[in-house]
Amino acid sequence: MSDIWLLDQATVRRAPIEPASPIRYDDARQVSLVDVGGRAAVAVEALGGAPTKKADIEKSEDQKDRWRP
Amino acid sequence: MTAQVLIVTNERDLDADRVVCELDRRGVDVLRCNTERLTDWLVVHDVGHGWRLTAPSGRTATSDSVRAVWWRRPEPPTLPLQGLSAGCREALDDQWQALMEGLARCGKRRWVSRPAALRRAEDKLLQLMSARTVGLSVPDTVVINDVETAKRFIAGHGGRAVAKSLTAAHWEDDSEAAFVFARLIGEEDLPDDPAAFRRAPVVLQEAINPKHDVRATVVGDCVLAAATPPTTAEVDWRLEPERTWKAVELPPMTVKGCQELVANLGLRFAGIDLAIAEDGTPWFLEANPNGEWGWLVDAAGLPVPVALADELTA
Repeated sequence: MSDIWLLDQATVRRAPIEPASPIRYDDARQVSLVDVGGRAAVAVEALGGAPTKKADIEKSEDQKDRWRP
Repeated sequence: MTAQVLIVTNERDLDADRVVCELDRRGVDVLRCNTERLTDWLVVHDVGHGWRLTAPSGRTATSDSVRAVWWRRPEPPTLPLQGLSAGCREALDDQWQALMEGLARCGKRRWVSRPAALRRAEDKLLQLMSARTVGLSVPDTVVINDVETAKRFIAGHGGRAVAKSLTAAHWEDDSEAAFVFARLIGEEDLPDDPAAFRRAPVVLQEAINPKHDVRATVVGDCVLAAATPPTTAEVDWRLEPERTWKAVELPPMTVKGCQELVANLGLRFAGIDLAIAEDGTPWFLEANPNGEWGWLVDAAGLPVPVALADELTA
């Protein structure tokens, strides 16, 4: 509890976010579960340029190399 | 010279992968700039004349070669220097951000969307007022730090209202991450201490409940909508990731309103949240100027990557 009502309305979760339990946060910070290169990948995306925690991303090295300039 | 598409985002942007794949399938020359790696790139902006980005691989994008820019989710560059204070890092991040956003001031190529427009369109109150001007229904809304007025607002709307933050309220530390979702509240949820309510403004909005939630993804003039069934458990569908989504067609007037709203906000893309009331009235809730859409491809089959590729190559 804080002395600020707005903050007390927050949903609090343990961090770091476990990739095995994808949690959809919001548009700003969403956990996407997609299939990349035949493997499940979980990513935590960031709000408008804000720094984020390291997400566990099981992208195949092939995909990484292909799309990284 | 082959026209290029430049994508400015981050390495973990899996939805960008989908668009890259679609553009690649069409034979479009794509250069993706993951901005964490910007210090490995060379950037020259000859002010008033043009700019050139050179990737570590040697590939380039210039103000002449680029047909369209998809300004997606850039992040601050990862600086190799150790021992920088947080203040120093912030100052350096600001330099990079200003440089990259400044690229939009040169030339008339298509931006999806321009950084300045994205920032402006994040203003939730501007969104609500703009939505009203294009004919979309907007729930009664107040931004408030006065608990007595809040009580009257709630009482005046059947004893319930939706409380939400004015901008995305998210924070984290080493052990916890927190986010303020939209919540249905009554007077009993307000604090006894008026000071606790005074210390941060909050948005109170007339509750449309029960409702079908709709996410309308607008890409240029294309409106792709998906709906999720009503629930009374939560007003914020983001708290219920197990929900199902299916593609739906919106009434023509709602489609037109969404198109006009996005255009009036100066955007080429937005994820618009609507609530369809029991009587069928579509209510505008908010617009997400760079909203997510990946789950809608998987869950509802919405061809968002195709629409984005169309927009970037139009």
